[in-house]
Amino acid sequence: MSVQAAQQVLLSETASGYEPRGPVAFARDVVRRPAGAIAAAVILLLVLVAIFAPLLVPDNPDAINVTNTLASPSAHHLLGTDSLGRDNLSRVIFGTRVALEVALPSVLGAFIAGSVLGMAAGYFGGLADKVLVIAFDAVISFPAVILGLALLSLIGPSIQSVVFVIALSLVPYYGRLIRAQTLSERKNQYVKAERSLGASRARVLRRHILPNVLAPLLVVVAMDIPSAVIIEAGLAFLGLGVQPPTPDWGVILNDGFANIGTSPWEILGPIVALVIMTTAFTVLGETMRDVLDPRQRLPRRSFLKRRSRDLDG
Amino acid sequence: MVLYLTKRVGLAVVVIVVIMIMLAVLVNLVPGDPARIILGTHATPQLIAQVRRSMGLDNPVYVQVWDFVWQALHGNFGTDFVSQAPVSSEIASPLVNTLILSLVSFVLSVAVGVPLGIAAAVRRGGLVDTLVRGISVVLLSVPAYVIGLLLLLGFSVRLHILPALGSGSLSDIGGYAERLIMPAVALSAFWWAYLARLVRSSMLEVLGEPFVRTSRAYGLRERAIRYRVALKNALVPVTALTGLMVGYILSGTVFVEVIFERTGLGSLAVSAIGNRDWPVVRAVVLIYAAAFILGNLGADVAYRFLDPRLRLEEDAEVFI
Repeated sequence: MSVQAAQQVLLSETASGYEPRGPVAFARDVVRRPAGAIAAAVILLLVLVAIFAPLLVPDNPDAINVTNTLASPSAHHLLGTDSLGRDNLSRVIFGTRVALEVALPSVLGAFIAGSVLGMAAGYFGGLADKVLVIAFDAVISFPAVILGLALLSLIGPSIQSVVFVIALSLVPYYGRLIRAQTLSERKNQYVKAERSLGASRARVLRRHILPNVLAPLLVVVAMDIPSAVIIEAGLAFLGLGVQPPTPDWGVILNDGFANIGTSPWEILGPIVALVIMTTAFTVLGETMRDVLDPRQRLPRRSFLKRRSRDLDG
Repeated sequence: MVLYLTKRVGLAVVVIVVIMIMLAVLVNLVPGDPARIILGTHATPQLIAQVRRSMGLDNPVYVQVWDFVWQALHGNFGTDFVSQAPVSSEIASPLVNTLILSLVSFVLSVAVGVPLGIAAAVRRGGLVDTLVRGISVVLLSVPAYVIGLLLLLGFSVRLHILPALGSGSLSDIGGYAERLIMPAVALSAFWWAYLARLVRSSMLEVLGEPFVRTSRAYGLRERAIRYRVALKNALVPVTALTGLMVGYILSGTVFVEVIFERTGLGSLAVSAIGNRDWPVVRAVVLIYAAAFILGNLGADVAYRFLDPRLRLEEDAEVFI
């Protein structure tokens, strides 16, 4: 339960207190906050970099030049070159593509699969629920990287298998959250009323329960994207994920790690890029959570100051 | 509490058994000849025949499952393809190293993160508070392997202050401890930020509660209110996060062991995957999962015990 308890701590009744006024109004509330606006702008920029990578790179990321390996930064190669003489900066720019290509489908896939399974478990109950809950627990016992060790050694490393591994490791988290929310929604009078009016279970799930349980999950989705980016690059760094010569941040880190004594700048490029991307998504997720949850607003500072001053002095 | 404990321990046992079964049937779930999947496309026919025999891959799947679970329960995880030694003897000393690293990282996380959070909450808007709130957002987004690589680059490659490689031997405690510094920092830095923020916000929340005002009205000293009343309540959500900490630190050990060239379960698994040594990989994965389950079990029981409201709900749902 502690994973579940942790989720509760993290989400802390996200759904309550916020009047849902549609996705557009919600997005506006998020962007209206400075942190949200900056995070959204950075993410937009990263997406543009990923899309227009071929136009932005100073050099071909795959162009090998054996006469100029592990070069220091210069006007030609702003981040130097790697062990095969490829331009580090160009490879980092292309790495943005791979990072998003893996992170977005894996989180989205987990979100969809987890929602379907979680709603099924919560709504139908009985044996299906028991089996699913045990299955969630079993899969959740493998941290994503450990799951990667087990599966990638058998199915072989590729972009698709990395997406599969990350999605699989996230499914139970979504499944459980949605299941718990479905259970509490199901008890509401409106569900009984709808059923007695002759609505099918599928209709109740789709039209009524789904919209109610999805809103707080958007926060989780935004927070899971950086985790997916981190796991993807990590697996590639270990040599188990995306394979060389693909210009991927983890692959570059691996090459840079092997030559850390002679060309330290090689690992700095992917590290900076990775931290920018993960921080942007984390900040966006936190802003979304703050907008959804007014409880996060803590007692005002003046109030506390007055309190402690009165009592200390 | 007793009913809860029974249910909770029972669930952990069930999940461990389910995991063993999953790991036993995994090779049969991937399309293709299991022996070839384990060994890769370049394996010689002799090797494939040998592996098929030694792992009993020709037996029906239920026999394979029964053999693996039964043997694993007796601490027998099969034979290492490469060294031909029993896997259990191969993993014994890496296991000790990984456990020590994980425990040290766990303690370091709590020992730094919680006091930071207290300091930030007590002096709201002060230096520590500003630092915690400023740095934590970035620190929360940086994976352990990045911190590990940066530490390696800074302290070993550039400054030559700390020894970079290996895990040392337990007979030389000083050298062993010195080699633990960077890996443990890399694994706990995330939790310094996370715990500091969590303790800060939950302490501020508790400090705003009516019962704190009442305590003040009764004339309790501010110090007593902070540490005896507020901190105690603020630590409950920290316990809830212990399960996540265990998972994070365990998977982090894989990277940290590779980066600092430590002997450990993680580095063992990574090299075993390179050698297509499935029995070793499977055993390591099983140990990691079991450690995660046990860590969560402990965290859950502690969480229940610390929060009297939960202790009373005997019929609450049991989850990992």
